[in-house]
Amino acid sequence: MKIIKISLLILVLIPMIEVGADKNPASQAIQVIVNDQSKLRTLNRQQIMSLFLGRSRSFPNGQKSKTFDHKMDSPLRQNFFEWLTGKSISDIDAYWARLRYSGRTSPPKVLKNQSETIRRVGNNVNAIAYIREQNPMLLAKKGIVVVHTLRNSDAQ
Amino acid sequence: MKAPFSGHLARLPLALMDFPKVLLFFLYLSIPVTVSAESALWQDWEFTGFGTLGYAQSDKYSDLILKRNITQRSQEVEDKGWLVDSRLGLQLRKEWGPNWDLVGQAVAQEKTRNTLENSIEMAFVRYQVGNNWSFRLGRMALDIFQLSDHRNVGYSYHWVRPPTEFYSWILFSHSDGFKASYELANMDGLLRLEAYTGSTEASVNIGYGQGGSSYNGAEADLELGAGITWEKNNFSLRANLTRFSITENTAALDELKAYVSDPTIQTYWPEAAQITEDYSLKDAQFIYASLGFSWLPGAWVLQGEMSDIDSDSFGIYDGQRAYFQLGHRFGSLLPHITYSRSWDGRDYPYDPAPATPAEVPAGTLESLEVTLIDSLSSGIVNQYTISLGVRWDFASQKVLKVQCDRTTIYDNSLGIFPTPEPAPRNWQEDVRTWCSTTFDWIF
Repeated sequence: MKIIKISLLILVLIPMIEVGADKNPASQAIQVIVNDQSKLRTLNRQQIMSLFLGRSRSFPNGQKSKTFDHKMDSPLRQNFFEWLTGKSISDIDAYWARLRYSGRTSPPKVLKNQSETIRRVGNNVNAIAYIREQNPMLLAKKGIVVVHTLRNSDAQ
Repeated sequence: MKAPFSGHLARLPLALMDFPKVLLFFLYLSIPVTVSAESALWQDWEFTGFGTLGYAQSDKYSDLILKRNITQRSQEVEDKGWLVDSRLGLQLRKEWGPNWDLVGQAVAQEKTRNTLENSIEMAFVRYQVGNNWSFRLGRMALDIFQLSDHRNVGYSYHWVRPPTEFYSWILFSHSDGFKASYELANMDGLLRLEAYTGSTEASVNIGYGQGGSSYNGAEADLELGAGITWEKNNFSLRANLTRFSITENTAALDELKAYVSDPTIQTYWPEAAQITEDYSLKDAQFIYASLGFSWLPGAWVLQGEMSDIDSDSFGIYDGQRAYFQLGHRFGSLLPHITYSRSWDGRDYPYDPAPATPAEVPAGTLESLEVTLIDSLSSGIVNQYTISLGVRWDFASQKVLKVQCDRTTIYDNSLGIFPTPEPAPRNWQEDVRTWCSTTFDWIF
C-alpha cells in the first residue's frame, strides 16, 4: 500500500511541478542550414541524423562539422527531432543522456534563439543547425545555404 | 586554471560519509554551479547532472531484502526503502581546442563504503586524433556491458533499475586506467573498437551482517579488455571480453583462513584448509564476456544482453546471465516487460567433515562445515525475474517510473538478496514480488 500511496502522491504533485512539454505550435517546415562556404548544397535525412545524433563528427565531404541545437523544451527542437527520426523527443533526450553521462560525447551546443542560430551558422564554416522555414534568398544574403527541408509529413 | 570545486573539497575531510551526507555535499556543490553558470569563469565548462528519487519495497518480506546492488548495505536499505534507487550525479566537461577534453562525474548514492573519492565515477582526460582515434587516461566508467557506463542515470533507461540478475552482482563501477578507441563512422552507421586496461576497487555487503568483516573490500586488476560496438539506423550491437584478477582477499575470507590454519583444525580436518583455499579470491582470474543488442523500430523497444563469467575461484559468482526487454511507446507512456535470468547451480562437492573428537570443544568441526557450505550461497545467483513497468515522460527531462518484479529464487541463491536468517541459511526455492517507483530527471 505504501508504494501505491507514494505513486498517487507523485501523480498529484506533478501538475504543480511542471505541465508537460509545449504544445506543438507549427505545421511550418524546418530548414537544415549550413554555411555557404562549406560547399555543401544538399544533405539527406540519413546524413542529418548521423550528424545530430552524434554518430558522425564530419560532413560527407570530410570537413569537420559543428552542430547547434535549440533549447531542450523548445517546440522547434521537438518538431525537428521527431520529424527527423520518427522518435519521441523523450527517446531522443534519453539517448543523449546515455551519450553525455557515459562521457562519450556531448549533445550539440544549445543557442538562445533562431537569430543567434542564423548568426552562428553565417560565421562558422563548420556549422550546421536548423530553423523554422525562412526565405532561402534572404538566408543566402547572410552566407547560409538550406541543405534539407523537413516537414511534418516526413515523420516516419 | 584552478580546478573546479577545489575550494569545497579542501573544506571537507576525505572521510567516511554516509549517503545523506554525500548527497548534501553534492547539493552544496551544485549551488555555485547554478550561480556561476552564466559567469565568465564557468562559461567554457559544461555543468550538467542527473538524479533519481525512488522508493522500493525493500522491507516487504521479513526473510529476504530487496537490493539494487551488492555494494549497498543490507540493513540500511531494509530500513530505508528510499535509499535503494535514489542518487544524485554531477558532471562537468571542458574542451580544450579540437583535440582535448576533460570529463568529471561524481555520484552520491547508497553504498557500503561511502567516500568522496569513491563517489567519483569519472575523471579522465581524452585526446582525439582526427576522426577515428581517441585515447582516455584516468578514471572511467567500467564499460564492459551494455548499460555499464550509464547505469546510474535512471533517466536514460526505462526500468526502475537495470535487471537484477544481470547487473546487481557487478560490484565494480569504474576503473582507473587507459582506454584506446577507434571509431569508423560514416553517414550509414558507426563501428567502434575499444581496448582498455586498469585497476578497480569496491566494497560489498553480500550477506545481512553489518560492519566489520561483513563489509568486504575488493580490488581487481583489469588486465585487458576489448569491446566492439556497431550501430546502424535503429540497431546497435555490442560485445565485450575482459580478463581481470582479484588482487586481495576479502576480510571475511582472511578471517576464515586464519581460523582453519589453527593447529587443532589442521590436525583433525586438514581438508578444511584446502576448501578455504578454493574459496580464495586473491589472484583468482576471471573472464567476463557479454553480448548485447538494442533494436528500436518506430515506437517499439527491444533489447537484450547475455553474459558469461568464468572464474577459477570456487566460491564466487559464476555462470551465465541474460535478459530481454520488450516495450512500446504510446505518447508519453512506455510500458515494458522484461525477463531476466541468471544460471548458476553449483553444489558443494567436498566430503563431509569428520565428527569432532572428544578433546576438541563439541561441534567445532560441524560448525566450521556449516560455515563453509553456507558461504557458497553468498556467491550463487540462480534465479529469474519477470518485470512489468511503465515509464511516463510527463515533462521535458523528467520521468516517473513504476515497476513490479516477480522473482523466483532457486535453492541457495543468496548472492544478491540477503536474508537475516543465521547460518545455515539453507534457502529453498521460493517466489518474491517487489514494487518500486522512481522520479528521474536530468539537468
